[in-house]
Amino acid sequence: MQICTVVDIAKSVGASRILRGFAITCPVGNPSVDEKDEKAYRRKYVEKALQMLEHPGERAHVESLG
Amino acid sequence: MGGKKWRVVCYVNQFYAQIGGEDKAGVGFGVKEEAIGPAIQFRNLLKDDCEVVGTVYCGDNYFADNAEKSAEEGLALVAALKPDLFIAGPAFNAGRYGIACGNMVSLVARKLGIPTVTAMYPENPAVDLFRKDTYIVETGIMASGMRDAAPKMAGIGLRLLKKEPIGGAVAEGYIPRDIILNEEQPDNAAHRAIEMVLHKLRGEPFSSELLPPVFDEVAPAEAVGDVKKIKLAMVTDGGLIPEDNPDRLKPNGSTTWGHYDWDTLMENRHFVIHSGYDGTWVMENPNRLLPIDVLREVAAEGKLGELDSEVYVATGNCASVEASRTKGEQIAARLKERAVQAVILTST
Repeated sequence: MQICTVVDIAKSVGASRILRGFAITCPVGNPSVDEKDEKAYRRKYVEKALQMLEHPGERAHVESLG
Repeated sequence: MGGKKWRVVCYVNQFYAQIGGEDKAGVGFGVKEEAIGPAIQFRNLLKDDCEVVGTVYCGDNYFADNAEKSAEEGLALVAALKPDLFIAGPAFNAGRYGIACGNMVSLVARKLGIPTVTAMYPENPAVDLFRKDTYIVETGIMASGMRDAAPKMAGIGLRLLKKEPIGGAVAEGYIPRDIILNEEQPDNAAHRAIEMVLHKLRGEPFSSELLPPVFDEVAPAEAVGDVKKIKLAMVTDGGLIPEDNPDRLKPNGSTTWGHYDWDTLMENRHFVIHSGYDGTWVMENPNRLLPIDVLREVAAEGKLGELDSEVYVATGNCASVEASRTKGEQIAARLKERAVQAVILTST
């Protein structure tokens, strides 16, 4: 599965489990909050990613957090 | 030429050599020191400057059974005829014949260093394999397209012999080779773009000057089942690498990648070589690119089977599709060796 911000590129090259990341320069985090909150936020990405791996893929399918 | 003519050798299959149809597809190589089948058209079209000195033929099954070995066998016969130009086919939409023509033109060009031309229907499976190696003139699906294809093939062949320039794919009628040619245009890009838009708005035909790359159709991988039982690895195209750059990644257009033990990478000096994004946030906390901190926690809690200790790093900045495919295959091979069952790929 792929985590990225420019999801159109992932879609065009044939990815099938795409999760929209936080930013191009920071796929899984959020530099504007403190370290603890950022880690909790990163955990949401990871848990969502693992969940997507357990489900059937679908060409160019994009999910977002919450 | 002072009377001396260029020597042309042609290649055809058993059918065009008038040996027989499918029942004769197993016949091996043969040579006739004259033009036979489609080669007769090339003899007529090129008669002022060239002489067709021979036609090499082979059965499609014989060739395709071991294409590489067959091509070497054919090459020896072609070389013995001392050609200046080699023409194969046209193969139209015939798959095995296309593979034979493609292998022959490719090997002859490489080994004998002479110009080669063939022709096929664009959806012939051999087109993708060989279109970059030679000129493949576009034909119709049926052999009745010979009348259109032969003059184009002969024209390209003759100009290659005369070392005259060959124009763009659309104008010349060959299948794009992904070679960029410099051409002078009477109007600048703004004018041409406006013209193109106006044509489009009017519903009139127009042709794009750039073709988007063709991507593979990728079937979604099966679901992994229970993540509590699998080994997972992190891959990124964000270019986070050791300072000494042992795998020689490049800031853009990189053709290499690296695999690094995460703890070793973190304990030693590292940096973001990718020049297409600002690596400040990733350098502040590399887990923002590769969420190893969280994945280790999740694994420790038993919610993930195992996390690979290595991370796999490429640089996805202005990388060509072909180079990326190669890197992808290499990374996948390494992941398989390490029994990795699923991957999270982060892209910047």
